[in-house]
Amino acid sequence: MKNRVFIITFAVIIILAAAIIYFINNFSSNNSVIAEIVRDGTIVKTVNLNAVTEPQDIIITSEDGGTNTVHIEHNAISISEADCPDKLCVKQGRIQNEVYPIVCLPHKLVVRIIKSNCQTHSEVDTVTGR
Amino acid sequence: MRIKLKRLVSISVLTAIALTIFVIENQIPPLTAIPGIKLGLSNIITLFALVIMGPKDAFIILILRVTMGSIFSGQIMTLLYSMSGGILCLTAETILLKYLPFKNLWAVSVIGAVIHNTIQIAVAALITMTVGIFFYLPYLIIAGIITGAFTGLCVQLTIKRTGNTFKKILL
Repeated sequence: MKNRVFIITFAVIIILAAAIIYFINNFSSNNSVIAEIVRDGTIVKTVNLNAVTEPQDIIITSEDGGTNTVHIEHNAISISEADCPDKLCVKQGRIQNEVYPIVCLPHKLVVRIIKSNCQTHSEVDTVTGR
Repeated sequence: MRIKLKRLVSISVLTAIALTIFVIENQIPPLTAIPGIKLGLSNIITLFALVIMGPKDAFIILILRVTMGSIFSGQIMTLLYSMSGGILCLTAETILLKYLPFKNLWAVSVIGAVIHNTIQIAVAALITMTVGIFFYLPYLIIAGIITGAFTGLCVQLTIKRTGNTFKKILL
């Protein structure tokens, strides 16, 4: 097959993927305020981020002894410290919606925000988009 | 017996090269905050072995490199991701190489890299039991196309410039 065919196909895929990324990042959902900390498939802790007024830290220890410090703020959650080698979870920063979970693969830890069941959907003036 | 010994030495040398590349690449800090994105330079050796020495030897080199690489890097968890991704990627590349000519080698590498990243995401989703990880898929597909094209071109140009030299040395 001609090389040009492949170049065009891959270029189209890259553009499509970039479009999907753009779409996901602009898809805001301000209703979600419940955060879940999941270790190895089981929920360790559930926090209502809307109710958090003072920032606080939670230390999560994994089975093999590794620790992650989860930083909780009003409507945002992040991992502030980890003793894994790559520290990708720390570099990912804060999350505020359910689109991207924070994942720490070495410690099998996932921090994610799930949609809240509050009736904010009916309150028209709470969500105006970003 | 002589042929067998030569094959053993060739596999050992290529595994050593792949491992060296893997360990050095591990020292480079991650470029992005998205887990799983890296250059994957040691795949150059895997693809090179597949073209020059055939699928059997390539699989041996891949399994040896992934096993020892995860021991050397101290992260046993990466074994699962790399092994499942690597084996399926190499299987796809073996099949594709049968149907595509040599000048499309870089495209074979791109498709392999994309499959590798997709499988890794699927395994990560299974292990962490989070479907949300699949939101990373578009990032990893873009990364796979770029890194796959790079590694594929490395192999394609190396073999094109050296001709039959490596086949004579290694086989």
